[in-house]
Amino acid sequence: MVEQTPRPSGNTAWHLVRAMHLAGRCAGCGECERVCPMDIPLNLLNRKMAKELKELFNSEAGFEVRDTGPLTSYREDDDQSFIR
Amino acid sequence: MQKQITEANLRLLIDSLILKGQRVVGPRQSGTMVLYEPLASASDLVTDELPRRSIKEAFFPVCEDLLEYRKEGQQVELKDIDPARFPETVLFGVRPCDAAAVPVLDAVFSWDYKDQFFLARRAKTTIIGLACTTADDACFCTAVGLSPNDPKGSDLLLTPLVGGGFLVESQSEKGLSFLEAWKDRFSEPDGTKPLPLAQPAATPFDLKKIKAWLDDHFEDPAWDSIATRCVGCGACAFVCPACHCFDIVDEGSEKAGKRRKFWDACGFSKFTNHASGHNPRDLQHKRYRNRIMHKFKYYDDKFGQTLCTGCGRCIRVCPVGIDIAGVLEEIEKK
Repeated sequence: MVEQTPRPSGNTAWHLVRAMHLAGRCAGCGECERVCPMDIPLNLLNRKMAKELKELFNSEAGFEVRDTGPLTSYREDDDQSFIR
Repeated sequence: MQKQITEANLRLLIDSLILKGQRVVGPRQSGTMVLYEPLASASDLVTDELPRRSIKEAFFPVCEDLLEYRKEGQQVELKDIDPARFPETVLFGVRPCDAAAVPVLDAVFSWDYKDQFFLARRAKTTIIGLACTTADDACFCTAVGLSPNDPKGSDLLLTPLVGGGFLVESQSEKGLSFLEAWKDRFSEPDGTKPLPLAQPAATPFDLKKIKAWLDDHFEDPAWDSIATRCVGCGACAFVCPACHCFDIVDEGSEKAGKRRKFWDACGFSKFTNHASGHNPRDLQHKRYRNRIMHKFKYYDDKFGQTLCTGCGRCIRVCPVGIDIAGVLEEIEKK
């Protein structure tokens, strides 16, 4: 269950959800990390997701104006090895 | 009462307290920043930097449990949190802008409702303030009627002396009994001059004039322009030593869980959202207006003090560069 109070479980859930949500969308501007008042290295998660997307779909966010992103589109030849 | 203590004796005193099992909290390096945290030894103490977060957490934690519940069939079991379990604590090296916020919090937490959690921690804490000899561009304590060696809120105030050591001034009964309990570590003042105090660049505000404008400008186009940039992240309220809004929720399941109290911020869009869906502060500038109104009008109306000590933390952390001192300056000129 996701908690709303600022405790480790809720904070972790929020960061994981954000990382997943930004996968394929985050262009890596680094602004979130720059403004974080507590120096949380948010880009560690964001760049990890970007690396996964590059490896799985050869996709990089932020290069095309109308890029739909691999996680919001489907192609027959998408890698499906993760489905078990 | 005035005493003096050498740097070495101060460190011995802190180590003796820790060895005795006393919880000692002070500014220390924590990861990439300095924070008020429990000291493992006197060598942890950092005396030349304002911690990133304020001292309010010592009395008003980010999140705390208020009670536990458990339900089995028709039986409901409630377990209170006993404030008697809070440890006796000595806060060392508290900056005057942080210490000055503590009486401000006292007023609100012992007003119509006595907050036993806040008050129990408060009663068990001795605050040893440390005057500032350096200030940065964001510091503005001198603009809101305080100073780098303001004794407000401290039980003992330490002022660094030329050539090392500190002048120690007691400000309360707690401070006096602390001096008495550790008298071997202190000596009589020998007239050594204090180091020059920090000199924040900010000039004093006419807080009465600012309040007079706030008194009759709840509706004013200026609010829109003042707060256009605000993104409502709430960081200003969380780092503020005087902001004290909180929310209470029950977390868990219908079978078992906890009631928790945690920091909230008037900058958040849901802060005043009613269950009906109506939100009287539906736009960000109305939320920012509340921040300024609460600090410089409402709190003053109720308690005769300002809800701001000029620590400058909100200026340092604001992701869009809102400068509360600049906002006050703008209002003062109206």
